[in-house]
Amino acid sequence: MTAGAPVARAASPASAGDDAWGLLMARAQAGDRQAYGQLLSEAAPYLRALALRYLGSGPDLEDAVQEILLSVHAIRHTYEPSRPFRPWLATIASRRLIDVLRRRSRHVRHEVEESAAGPEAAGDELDPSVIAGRVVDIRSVRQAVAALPVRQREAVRLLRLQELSLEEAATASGQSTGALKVACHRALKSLREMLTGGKGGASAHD
Amino acid sequence: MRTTEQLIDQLAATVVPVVPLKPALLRAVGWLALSAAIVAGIVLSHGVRPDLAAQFARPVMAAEWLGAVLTGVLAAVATFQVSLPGRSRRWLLLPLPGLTLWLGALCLGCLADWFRHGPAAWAVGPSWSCVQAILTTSLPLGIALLVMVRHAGLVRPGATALVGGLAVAALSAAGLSLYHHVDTALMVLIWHGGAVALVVCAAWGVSERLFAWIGPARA
Repeated sequence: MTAGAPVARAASPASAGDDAWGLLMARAQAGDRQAYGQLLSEAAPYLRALALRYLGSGPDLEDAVQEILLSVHAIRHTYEPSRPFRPWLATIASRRLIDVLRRRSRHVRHEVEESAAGPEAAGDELDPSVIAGRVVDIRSVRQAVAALPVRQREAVRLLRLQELSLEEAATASGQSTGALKVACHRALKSLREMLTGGKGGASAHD
Repeated sequence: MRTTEQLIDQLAATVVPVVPLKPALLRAVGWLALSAAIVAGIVLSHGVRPDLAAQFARPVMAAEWLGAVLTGVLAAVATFQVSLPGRSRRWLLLPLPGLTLWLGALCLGCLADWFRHGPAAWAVGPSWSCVQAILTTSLPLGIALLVMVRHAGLVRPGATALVGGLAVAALSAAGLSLYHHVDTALMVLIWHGGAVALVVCAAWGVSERLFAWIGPARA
């Protein structure tokens, strides 16, 4: 079922997986990078299975898993090593997944409203000249985005690519709305410079 | 754009040591001590009401005040617990004994007033100063609480704000009772109760925006 499940089944008590993951998180809290990488890698399949149960298979499944991982990262200091790890993780995961479901229903509502507005709005989308005008070098955009510092990249991904509201993006990324605004502004400035051949690359500020 | 494995590699490569939060009960005690100091300061700045000893000699009045304090204390403990991932939602029920004592004492107070004063006990006038006092006292307590449970935005923002709002409003109302006189228990029920309900509803209503605005504490 998941990578997490075999860990849990490795020993008879249900908390065996918890103990292993809890120990890894305790080491991660102390700054152990290897333990943290191992924990997130082992937890990812469990989170994916959880996301599948909430969302069904869909294009946003992997985005949801990544949002959960970012939330875990942002509040890893709230884990108390003496307590079971899995309920801690499951609470964060279910909160994120409910957010994704709410977002989905909002998008569906918007689409229904747009289609009810009439076919004119969609007409331009089929015009080859409009499509040609929108062609961009996607590869260079991807490279430029990949070159951004982590927080700036997150800000662009959540605010511009996933089109989340500022509040939603703040919740998903664990950054404050102010920090997100600044990161997005710097990211767009850096992208503009990189894509138009302007001076300098990504802003050194994260 | 980026695979989950790449994200994991990035997070693991950039992870830094963090200090785990102190136990929830300990942090609740810390906030309660800070709140007691703030409320005491406000009470002293207004001056304790002259009839306080006489009022507290009446069991109903003492029970009403203790109910407000108990509600505030239990709601604060519930706030710190429910704000953490992995804790039971049943912590939300913790303030109920205090709330029952508070509302029960207020209802008994209404009956006692009726026996003592007759129909005059049902006279209700405006007391906007009560609402204003509870709102202004709730503000510093609420800001301190928000900072201490700022991680709740990624956990249970609505539930945390609900009991957090109850904690700050109940303690504010308890403080107000020490320096402000209201004629009847019904007035207290309406104006204090109304202000508490207002704070709780407002905190719950804006919880997601509030937590998104402040963001979780970073290491």
